[in-house]
Amino acid sequence: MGAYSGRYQGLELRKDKPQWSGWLWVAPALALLIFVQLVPIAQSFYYSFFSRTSYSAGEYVGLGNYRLTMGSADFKTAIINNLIFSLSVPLVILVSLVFVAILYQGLHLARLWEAMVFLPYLPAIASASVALVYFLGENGPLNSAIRAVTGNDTAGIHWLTQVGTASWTIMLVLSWKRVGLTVLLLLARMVTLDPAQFEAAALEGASWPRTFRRIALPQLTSIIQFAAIIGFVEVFAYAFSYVFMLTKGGPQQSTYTLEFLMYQLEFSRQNVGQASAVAMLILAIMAALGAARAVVAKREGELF
Amino acid sequence: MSTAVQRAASTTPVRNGRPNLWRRGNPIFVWGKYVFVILVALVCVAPLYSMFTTAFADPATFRSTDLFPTGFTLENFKITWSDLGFRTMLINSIILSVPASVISTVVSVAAAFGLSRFQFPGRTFLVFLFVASVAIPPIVIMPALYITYSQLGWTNTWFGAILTSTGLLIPFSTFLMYSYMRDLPKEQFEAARVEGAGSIRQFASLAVAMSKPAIATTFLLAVVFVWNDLLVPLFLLPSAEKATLMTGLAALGPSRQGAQNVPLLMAGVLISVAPLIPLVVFGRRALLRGLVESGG
Repeated sequence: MGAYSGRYQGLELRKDKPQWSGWLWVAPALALLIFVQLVPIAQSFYYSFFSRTSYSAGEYVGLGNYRLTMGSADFKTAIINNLIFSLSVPLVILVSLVFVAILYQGLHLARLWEAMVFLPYLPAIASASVALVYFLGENGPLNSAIRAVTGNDTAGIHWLTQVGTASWTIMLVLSWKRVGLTVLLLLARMVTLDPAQFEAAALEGASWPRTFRRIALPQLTSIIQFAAIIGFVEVFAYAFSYVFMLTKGGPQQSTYTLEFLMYQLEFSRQNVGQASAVAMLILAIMAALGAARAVVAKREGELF
Repeated sequence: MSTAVQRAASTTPVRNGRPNLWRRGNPIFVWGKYVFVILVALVCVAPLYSMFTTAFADPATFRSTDLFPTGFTLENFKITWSDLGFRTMLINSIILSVPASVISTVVSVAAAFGLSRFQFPGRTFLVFLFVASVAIPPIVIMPALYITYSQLGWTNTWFGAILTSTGLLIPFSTFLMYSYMRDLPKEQFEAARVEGAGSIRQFASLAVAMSKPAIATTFLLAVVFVWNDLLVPLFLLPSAEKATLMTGLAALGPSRQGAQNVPLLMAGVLISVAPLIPLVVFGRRALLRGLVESGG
């Protein structure tokens, strides 16, 4: 430092003064965030206490919209479906971990398998869904294949058209779409790990599955957490597109999720008040998930 | 990838009485891992393979039960492109996604610079606000936004849709750029300040210049997000002539799947996917690096 120490001292002084011009750089982004997202949320919070429709402001109903929503059968279905869809999170992580463990050890055509698994990530939800509605149709290619293999002309599964089955099919579709990205993220982290530690374990006589579980897995936790977060966010914030494209909530309203319920209330029934109440409930769930994440992060001392 | 490990494993003698299961010779593991990997890979590819081949199938002879459609024609794409309106939809998707991605990236890079290079009261709160907003489900804002836009006359306008898409992108883009810029070396900025460079100079010739890979990732993810987004056009661009590829597919899709239409529809799916494939395939490395760095 030597000759510059005087100047650096000046800088240190300046650093202590608040640099208000920072706000100017953030202002445009903040304005957009407030106008497009935060103000509508505040409005929705207000609307959720009124019997508002698309045409009239309605009157104050207190917690009526919340009571009405939480007492409805559709709400119960929606919660159950959101929980079923959540199972895609552990499923994807488990399949991806096994896949990565095998691929890392070296396998013929590893690049090809990796690319194949990544493929479903490419098309948009809407595009993939149109292909899937055909593929999983009553007389679609998959059921035809099942019939050909079993030799039974009436075999096949009502993938998207049977109450009970449809929700699980959507869960599998969610997993199908996300497994490639998770594999890619895990592999990217795996190749940065020091191979010497695995060799050491192998010399100790530990099998690869055991080595992977004991040595690689702890070093993958941040990626697994990240994969879990994007998984849960997708289930609670973006599953609407899957339901809208694959089943439109059917059959018999059995694939409703919270977001789809909200969409129905808003669009088909013009019930802005109740739709806003559902919106607040979704936000509450996201906030709870965020708080859980913050608690975990804080315990590990890595918040921000 | 790690032949050294494999070699070590296969030549290691059995120790501690625990046999090394993962080695040549144990058929359960030798075949088991192939069965697992190939099964997962096939499940991932099968629906897309079926979509791809069907898009080229001849509608006249096509039956929906075909596992491997026969015939090859490009006629489907011609019909889909002009008669089903995919040309207009493609243009609409570009009109929506390019401005929204450009504006949101520029604004987010500036915000990330402000958050990472300045110390000011409220900074930590702002960082928290942007990070927390990443988790806001877009559908939650739609009813209220629709009412506001109706009053302003912005529904079914490009302005309203682009503004909304931009606003939806801001939190994630800012978060991604912030987590990158935060780790840029402080010394260079200090040195520039000593040399008398103002904050605009520091932004343009230092922050932006050093963050090019992260900016590319942010922009790429923004394009993919808006291109694939169903909600904004569904709520805010309801008229048929402003339909994007996603709302167009939604309108054509599940309801109109007579056997004759399937090859046309699959051609439409392929048109909607095609523009992003080179982007994601060639940008995959940048995309991955951005995600791994911000996520872990």
